[in-house]
Formats: sequence, structure tokens, C-alpha cells
Amino acid sequence: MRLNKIPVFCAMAALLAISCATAPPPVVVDTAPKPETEMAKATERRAYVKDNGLEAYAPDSFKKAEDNYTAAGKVYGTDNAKAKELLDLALPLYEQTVTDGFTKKVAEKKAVADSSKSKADEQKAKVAAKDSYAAAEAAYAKAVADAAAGQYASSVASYQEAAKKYEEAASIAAAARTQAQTALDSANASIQSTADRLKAIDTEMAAGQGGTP
Amino acid sequence: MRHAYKSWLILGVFLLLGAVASFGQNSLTDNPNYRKALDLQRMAKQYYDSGDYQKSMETSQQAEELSKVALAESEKQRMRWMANSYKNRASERIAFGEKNRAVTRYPDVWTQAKASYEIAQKTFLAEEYQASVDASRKVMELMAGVEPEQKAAAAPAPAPAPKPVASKVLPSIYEVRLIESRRDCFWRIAEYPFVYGDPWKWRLLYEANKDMIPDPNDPDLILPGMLMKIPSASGEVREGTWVPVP
Repeated sequence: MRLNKIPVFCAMAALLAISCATAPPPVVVDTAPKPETEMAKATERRAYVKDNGLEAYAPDSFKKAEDNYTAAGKVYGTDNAKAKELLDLALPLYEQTVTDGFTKKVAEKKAVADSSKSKADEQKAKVAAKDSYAAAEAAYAKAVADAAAGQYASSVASYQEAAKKYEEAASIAAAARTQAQTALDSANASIQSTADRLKAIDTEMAAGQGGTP
Repeated sequence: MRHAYKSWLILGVFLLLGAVASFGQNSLTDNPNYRKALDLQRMAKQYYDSGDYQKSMETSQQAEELSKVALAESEKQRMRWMANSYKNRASERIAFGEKNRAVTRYPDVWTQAKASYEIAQKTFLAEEYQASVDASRKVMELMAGVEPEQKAAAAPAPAPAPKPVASKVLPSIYEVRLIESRRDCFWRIAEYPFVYGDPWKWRLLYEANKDMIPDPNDPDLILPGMLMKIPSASGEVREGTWVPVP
């Protein structure tokens, strides 16, 4: 029985001896500098996209930018080279989001302003609501100029202001139009009634003069 | 010579145009306020179409006000015409009374009729046309029983005092006459005292006789010699044909 246990103890002792003799793994120290500038710029562009609500207008490029930005954040400080590489990918994607997003957003706001302008024109607001319509026209012209100058955020705001003023003008004109229509209908009815009565009196008097009233 | 002919022709055209224009002005639709209302109505529509709703509304309101003024003026004109028409008929009855010495034959009636006629004239001048119409009608009512002097003299029984119209037997037939100075028509026939003494009752005559006139839809055309039925207007007894006093 004792003889049977000897090989087992020998094997365990050998394994212990081997394990104690193995050296600890080496600690990896990143020597590349943190990509602080890239991170700051990407963070700023990311905030700009969100502040202007552009992510909804260019969701593909934004998602790709976000994936790279998130991955860069995970390795930032531990694998700075990789982080820089990822941020270098994220930054142009954020720029693309800004460009594409603003293009679509400006077009969308312009379409809204154009629709409001049509409503105002339909009500002849240019004459009926001069002040509001003039303010809308000024805002619209500024929006066009801002878009041409690449000032998209300002252009979006101006188109929104223009749309608001066109709606206001349309509303004022519509109310005035209703009142004018009512007055016109009333005058028409009164004049028609008077005309009928005058003709009846004419007939009565003519008949009375020549024969039977 | 030829030049003179042209001048006369041009003058004739102008006179014709003037006559047409003055004839056209007789229509009440030529009332200046009504014309102005129509102009304003057109302007209001133009303002409306251009989008100047404020001006359109103001102009419409002016148009409406003027059309109401025109209506009021025309109604007044109609009342004036009616009052004048009644006054003229009252005047005819007064002249008839004077000619037939109503002052001695019917002194009470005559005094009342003259007083009513004076009221008719005064109220007419004061533009109280309804009062004038009422007074003229009273004259005609009062004078309805005054008969021509000759007829009264020829009557078998003396009739110093007039009898009420309702108590007399009135004619049921009238023969349409050709009187050049005052041609017969439903209006004038209804006005005769022995018919209704009220021209406004002409329709009663028309309805009763429309089947015998040339055009049943044209009450203006009646022919001399027609024997016109005179239906009872308020239950009065009627019989015989009216015979004009020679």
C-alpha cells in the first residue's frame, strides 16, 4: 500500500518544483503619448453634431463615428496609438455628419418655410399682413445668404424664423379675409335686396302712371 | 345747304340721346346712392381680390349703407308718388263736388271733405305721405255718395241727403268707354264711386273679367264696349248695368 503512493507524491513534488521555477509575465508599458488633441477635437465635433441635432439627418456616418469614438475611449491611455488611429477615423466621420446633416436639415427647414410662404401667399398676406410678411421675407433672405456663406446653423434658425413669420402672416390674413368676405356677402345681399325692391317700385309706378298699378 | 342738313342731323341725334338719357333717369335704379353703392361693391371686390381685406371690408360697409339709403329714398319716393296720386284723385272729387254744387246739396259731407282735402295737401307738403294718403282716401270715401246734380234732379224720388254707399243698389255691370282725356282701365274703373271708389281694388275687377280681355295676363289692355262684371267687394248688393249720365 505504501509502495503504491510513492509515485504520486513524486509527481506532485516535481510539478511544484517546476511551477516555482517559472518567471512572472512582463508588464506592457505604452510608450506612445495620449492623443489628447484628437480626442478634444472629436469630442468637440461630436458635441456640435448633437447640439445641432444632426445625428438624425446623417445616421450612418454618425454611427460609424460613434463606434470609433467609443472604441478609442476604451483604449485611450492604454493603447494610445490605437486610440489615435480610431479617433483619426472618427473625426472625418463627424465632419461628414455635420456636412450631410446640415445639407439635409437646411433643405428640410427651407421646405417648411416655402410651404408656409405658399400658405401666406394664398391668403395674399403680402398685402393683408404687411409687417409679418415683410419680416418673414427678411428672415428668408438671410437664411438663403447664410446657407450660401456656409453658415448652416444660422441658416436653419433663419428659415425657422421665416416659417414662423409666414404662418403668422397667413393667420392674420386669413382672419381679415373672413371678415372681408362676410362684409362683402352682406353688402351683396343688401344691394340685391335693394335692386329687387327698386325694380318692383319702378314697375308699380310705371303701371300706375299708364294703366294699372 | 348740305352743311345745314348735317347740322340738323347732328342736332337730332343729340336730342334723341338726350331724350333717351332723361327717360332712363326715370328708373329708381338710377338713384345716385344706389349707383354709388354698385361702384363701391365693385371696388370692394377688387380690394378683396388684391388682398387688401381691410379696405374691402370698409368699402363693403359703405356700399351696404348707401344701398340702404337708396332704398329708404326710393320708398319715400314711392310714398310721395302714391300720396300725390291719391291727392290728385281727391282733387278731382273736390272739383266734381264744386261743379255739382255739393256745398249746398251735401253741406256736411262737403265741409268734412274740404277739411280732409286741406289736411291731405298740408301733410303732403310736410312730407307726411301716409297721413296725406289717409286724408285723400277720406275725401274719396266722403264724396263717394255725392251724385251728379243732373242725375239727382232726374231721379224719381228727391234725394236731398246722400245715402250711404252700402245702402244703395250699385251696378253689377260696367261698359268700358273710350274717353280720350282719361282712358278707362281697371285702376280708373275701380276708382269710380259707383264701382269701389278705391283704385287699389282694381284686382277684384281684373280677376272677375280676365277671361274676356284680349290677353288674360295683361291687365293693361281692355277694349271699349266690353261689359265688365263688378263683383261685390264687401257684401254690397249689385244689379244692372251702369248708365252714364249724358
